[in-house]
Amino acid sequence: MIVGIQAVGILFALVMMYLTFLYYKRSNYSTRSFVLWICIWAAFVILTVFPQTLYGLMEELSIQRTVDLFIIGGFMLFAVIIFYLFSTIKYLEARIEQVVRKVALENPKRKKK
Amino acid sequence: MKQRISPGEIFVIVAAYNEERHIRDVVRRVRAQGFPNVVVVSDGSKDKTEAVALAAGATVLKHITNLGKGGALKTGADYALREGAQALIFLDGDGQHEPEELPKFRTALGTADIVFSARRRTGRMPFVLRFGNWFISTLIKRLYHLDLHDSQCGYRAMRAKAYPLVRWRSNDYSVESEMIAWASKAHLSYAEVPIRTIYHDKYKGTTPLDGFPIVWNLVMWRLQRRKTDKKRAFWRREEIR
Repeated sequence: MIVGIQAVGILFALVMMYLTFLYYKRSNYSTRSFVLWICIWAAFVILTVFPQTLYGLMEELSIQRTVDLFIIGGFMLFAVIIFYLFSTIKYLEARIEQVVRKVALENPKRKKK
Repeated sequence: MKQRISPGEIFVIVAAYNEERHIRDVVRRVRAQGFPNVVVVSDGSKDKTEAVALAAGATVLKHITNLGKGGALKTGADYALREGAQALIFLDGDGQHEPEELPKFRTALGTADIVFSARRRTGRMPFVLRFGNWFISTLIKRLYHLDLHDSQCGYRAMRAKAYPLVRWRSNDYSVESEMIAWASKAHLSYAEVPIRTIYHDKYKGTTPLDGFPIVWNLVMWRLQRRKTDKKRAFWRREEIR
């Protein structure tokens, strides 16, 4: 029987699946990225419906409740995503700077005499 | 005593962002001082800064989007060196720095690789900026052993040979502090000239929030060992020591 927080979790994953599909259809990312994200949301649904599949892992990690595992896992995932975004932004900043400066240096304007 | 540089060999670099009100006056006053090479870097300006600067007789470089003061100065300096500049002088496009003080910098370049300026600490500088400036200058003295009275004033000059040694990575207002950090690490000779403090627009320029990354970066640059290529090492050995 699916109850309380499980229903919220499933609903959340389904909404995210829909958004993933929507942005894929808008060509925002590749098929590979689409498949990866759909697999992540599907795994989220499976683990929400059958939390007992995680009991073995929880015992190994000395975690009492499934929710605690999700919270800890969520924080770790956020940390990875923030690090990834930070790296991407720095990379893009460097590329933008390179392009902006190249265009400026190649097109100096002087007053015609 | 270093080789004297003529005004024609000096490139005056002006970073400007939406400065159509002041840029004509700045460029004309610089040229009136006998410095024919004025490079205005329009840093993503949305007004008529470029057209006005061009009409006033400057060479204009246009950033298609705003990079920040450090990025604009770097573009201007790279261009000037490519055009054969022997020295660079940086000043703001908002009229905060008086072009009439340019000869002081030229004179100081006769004895120093890099010339800093010091705004007189009068009531004209807002208190928060005065405190921030004092704090950062004190930190620089501790970390880099450079005795500067005003570490954040952008009115500066340097010999062309010093530029590769201090070429900065900062695109924002950390540029002034980064120049100091690399100048200290490269053991460049320096001088300081007093200038007047003028504040036209209290909403432009650095804010107290800019101080935090500057302080953080000052500590990081102190710990960092800068890579030097062969050319830099050559200059360091032959010119600076």
